[in-house]
Amino acid sequence: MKSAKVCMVGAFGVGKTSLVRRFVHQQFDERYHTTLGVKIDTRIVDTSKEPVKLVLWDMEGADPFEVDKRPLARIRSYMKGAHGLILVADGTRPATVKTALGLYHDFCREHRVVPAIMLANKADLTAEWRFDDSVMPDALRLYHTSALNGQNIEEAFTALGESLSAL
Amino acid sequence: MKRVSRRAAHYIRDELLKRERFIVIALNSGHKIVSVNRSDPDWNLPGLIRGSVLPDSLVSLLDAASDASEPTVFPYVELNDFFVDIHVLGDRESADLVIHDVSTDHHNEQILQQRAHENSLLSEQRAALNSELTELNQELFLRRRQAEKASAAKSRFIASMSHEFRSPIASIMGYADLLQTELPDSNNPQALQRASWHLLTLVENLLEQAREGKENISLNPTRFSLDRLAGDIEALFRPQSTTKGLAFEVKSSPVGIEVECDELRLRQILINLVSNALRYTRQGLVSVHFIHRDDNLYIRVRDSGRGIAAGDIDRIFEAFTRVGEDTTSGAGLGLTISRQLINRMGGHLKVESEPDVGSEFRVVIPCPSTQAKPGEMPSLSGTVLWVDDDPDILSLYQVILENWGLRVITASSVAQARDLFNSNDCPLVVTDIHLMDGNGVELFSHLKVQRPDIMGIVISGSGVVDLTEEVAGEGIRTFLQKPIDAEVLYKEIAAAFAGDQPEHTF
Repeated sequence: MKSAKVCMVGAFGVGKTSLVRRFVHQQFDERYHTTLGVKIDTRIVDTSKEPVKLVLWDMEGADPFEVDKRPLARIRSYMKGAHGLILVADGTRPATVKTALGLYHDFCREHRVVPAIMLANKADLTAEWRFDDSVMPDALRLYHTSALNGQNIEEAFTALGESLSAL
Repeated sequence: MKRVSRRAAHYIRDELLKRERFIVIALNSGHKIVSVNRSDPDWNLPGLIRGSVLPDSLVSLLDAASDASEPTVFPYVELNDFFVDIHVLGDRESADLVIHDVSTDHHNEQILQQRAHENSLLSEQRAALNSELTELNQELFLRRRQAEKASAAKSRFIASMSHEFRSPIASIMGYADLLQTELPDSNNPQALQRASWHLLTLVENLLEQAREGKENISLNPTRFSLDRLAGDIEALFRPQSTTKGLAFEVKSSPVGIEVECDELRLRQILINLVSNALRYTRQGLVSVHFIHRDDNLYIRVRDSGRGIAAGDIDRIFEAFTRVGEDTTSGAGLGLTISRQLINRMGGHLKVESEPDVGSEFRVVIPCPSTQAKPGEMPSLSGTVLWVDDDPDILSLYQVILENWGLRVITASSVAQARDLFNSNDCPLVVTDIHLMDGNGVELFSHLKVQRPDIMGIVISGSGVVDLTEEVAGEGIRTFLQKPIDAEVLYKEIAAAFAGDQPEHTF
């Protein structure tokens, strides 16, 4: 079975850990517990070609305002060798879009272009929603997701698995 | 650190191994674990057994390190509830993984990072709220500007409409006067006159409200009979009081005097106060007393209505405000406007009231009396050019002025006035300020260039004095407001032809 390293990339507090917990364990925890370092989880997704084992690197988030640069150094070391990227932004915090896109462009510049998707998370917070879909590059498929209610999560991860199976 | 002896190196290693926990895993090319060495026999991680294949999560580490010629370190990797630094030595063909337990360091740093991130998120939320607040403030500012513009437009509209109403009312009142002259035994012209005053008062109320107290109105003091005013008020409200079954009493003292103040404003105040008293009284009495003493006019309007609670007295003067369970008609402007007018006339208004007993409104207005009867109106001679775009007004004043012995030439536009002025000898020009094709003051200035010795009287339906001193100095004797008091008009025209210096009322 094909196995692919997929990195969850984005600013802190955007919900990367919650998305992985929802996708791998079908769980959600309302409390905010910041990630320091990385936790590696796996889940197999069915694709049209063959099942793919996603090895999900749930990494700590970057500081959107780059006051603390230490996480960025660790994040870059974790991203080495990634086969795919899941960029995560908080749809209620516009600055986090720039952070995710910045990490993506850095990776493509230093390594290679890999399959990637963008998740605009916390879509359940409709009143505070301030995500502008038009700022997204055409190359990135965008999903409005909610780790709270599971909106679009299966679809997004499976779509990335599909892209990875085709490589 | 520079090169140290083997003994020192071993010492450091032993000390390090006492304090820290390591697992060293040797792998072959198939990711099979060849050996597992632990610094602490009590510490192990599930799945790391000699002869087994490395778990997928750790194989992915090798992907990241496969091209590295130097050891690659992955800090703070969570493995089975431990946080470890994983050092990858070698490559996919033959690698050693050195797993270093850093759970304590991670725990401490995690606490700090958690606080830092929570603070940062709170700051972001605060900034977002501030931004939202700023946007809301800007929107509020814009809305307020729009509301102010709308209010100004509304005021302009009301003022414009009031102005439009004044001319026809002035016409009705003038013709009622003529009718009275022609039919001295009939009460009908007087009734028409009183109704016109009432209508004019309502229009003035609207105009006053449109001004919102921001503009100074001109006061036009005229001389009038206090008995006639009292009689008009009595006649105007008698039918209403009779319909409601109320006793209605109007008294005036001393009898037979004339007073001098702005009659229109005084009537406006009285109509507002008396109509209010009748509106809120279901049984008993409404009385109006006028007393003139020491150049002041004292007015007392008393009713046996439902009264006003002490705490509500101030509120009754707020515009569009009704106190208590009020189901009566009316805009709620009368008392507001009456108080404004009384203040402008230099007087004051006091209210005493008791719930279920009644109310008393007491007004004092400076108002000199004149004992002399109005003089006769001797016949005048001369030619007057009268310019107004209202044909009824033109006809009315043509009749009135011709009765005074004057020759009257009428023009309904600026253009016609210029033509007639050129073909006639007109030493006095009376013109409305707002004409269909121009402005009366500009017309007068133009005519004065042709004939510098002409005199002018400007008339307007607008309650606002809009003539400047500069204009006044160019030969315009006075500004009169519609409806024009015939006696005042006669006096001004007579003085103009006599060559008297004007007493400006600008």
